[in-house]
Amino acid sequence: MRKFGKRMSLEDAFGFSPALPAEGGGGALLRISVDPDLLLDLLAHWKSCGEENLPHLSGLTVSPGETSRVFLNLLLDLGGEGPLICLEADVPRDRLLPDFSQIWPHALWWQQELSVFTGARFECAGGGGVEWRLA
Amino acid sequence: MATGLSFTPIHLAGVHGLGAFRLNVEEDGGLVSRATMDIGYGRRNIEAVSLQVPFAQALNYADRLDYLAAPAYSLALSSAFEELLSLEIPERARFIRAILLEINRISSHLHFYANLAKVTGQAPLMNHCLRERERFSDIMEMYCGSRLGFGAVCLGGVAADATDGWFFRIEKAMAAMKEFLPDLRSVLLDHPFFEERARGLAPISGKCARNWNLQGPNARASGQADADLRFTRHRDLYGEIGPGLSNEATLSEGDTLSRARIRLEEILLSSRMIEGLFRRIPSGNHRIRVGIDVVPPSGKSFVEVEGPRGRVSVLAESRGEPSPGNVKFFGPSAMVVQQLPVILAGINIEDIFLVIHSLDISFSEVDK
Repeated sequence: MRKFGKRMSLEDAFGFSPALPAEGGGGALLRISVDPDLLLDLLAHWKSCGEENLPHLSGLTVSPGETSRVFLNLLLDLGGEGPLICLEADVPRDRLLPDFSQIWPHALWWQQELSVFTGARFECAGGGGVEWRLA
Repeated sequence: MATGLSFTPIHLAGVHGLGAFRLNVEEDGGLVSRATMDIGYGRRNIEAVSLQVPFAQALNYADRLDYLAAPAYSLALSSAFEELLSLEIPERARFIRAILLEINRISSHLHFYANLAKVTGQAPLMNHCLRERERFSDIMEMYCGSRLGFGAVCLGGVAADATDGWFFRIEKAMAAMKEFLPDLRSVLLDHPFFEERARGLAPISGKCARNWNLQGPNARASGQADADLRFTRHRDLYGEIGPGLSNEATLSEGDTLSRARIRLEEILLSSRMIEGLFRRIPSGNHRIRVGIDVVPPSGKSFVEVEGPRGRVSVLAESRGEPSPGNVKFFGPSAMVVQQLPVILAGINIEDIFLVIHSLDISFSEVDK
């Protein structure tokens, strides 16, 4: 299991060297924009790398206020002292988003939450043996 | 043949001390064969409401997200806003914030033991736990006027400066609490009846805790020592408090007994941390004055804080307007609720609420 002290490189975390933005948001957050088509490649990379080399998914959400598009934010912790990562993808609202819970099982909650409250559609929202519904 | 049992949101066994939720259980031969949860009975839509108010006022809503961990949520959100504003808060404010977090952690864990004592039928012990917790509520009230710590953290620092009288009260409360903890051990945690009942009950493996993102004491009871942000990402503040102060509050069994015992270790650890913070707290300002009409430049920030139940994460976004563009909380209790039906499967019906209370879920935070 990966220990906190070791920070992953961006190449190890994503399987490629992402273009870094000229200006980020807050000082402790590194924002990386990715093409939505790249999300499936990223999932394939994360599936192939073992538990040791998997970044920790700290959060998954969309930015509100978009009518025809969903702005997906994938919040990742690469460990160590460096900044947290916000992987951003701008996708059309009617597009089916990939199921991140196949890599991080706990993402199921956030996917289900987003489906209920924002209408974002994931390939596998709900199910997976864990059931909850909004009263 | 399976029988359906429905613990409604007004069922006293579950709701008291946790929040409103509904638990539907299928019972077969006295064992839980299937469990499902209904949540949302206490939903306040805090994230959306935060987008309608100025940045500084949004902290008041963050306080209410989990009423048992108010300083952790407002600290996470204020830190996120301060990052957007590129504000460097005074060193003294950082220390006071850390002290507030640790006081809140002790208070929350004492509340946990009050719940645990109630659910195991130890009503007198519950009253003793609440008595000890009252001292810490008094300390919070003395500091910010609210017994739950609402409004203690504000944009740019903390609500008030810490005084010697306040430190004295904290030391007194901690000394009284340390005298009480051996009783808590002997009457509940090390008592043979409780030990026999809780040992091996509803265990969570380290791998499961990691996969399902369990946080805080629940993860540390399953051996996930590096789940504590105080010793990893924030060790610049906590890690240098004193020699030998490492993350020793870690157990490995992951069962109900471990989850019950780990919080006692955490209380002791927190009290040592507070003593260390007292020794190192610098003088200076406790706050930078930030106006109500502050407008950060467009951007995003993401901050994580170690709350009493685990990692509290906040994504905040500014679009160059007087109100936040996006506020999103990721709390630890939701992750436990997600795994709860799996944890409950196969246990005795009478142990359901012992297991739920051992996980220290706050449905206030789950519902948001």
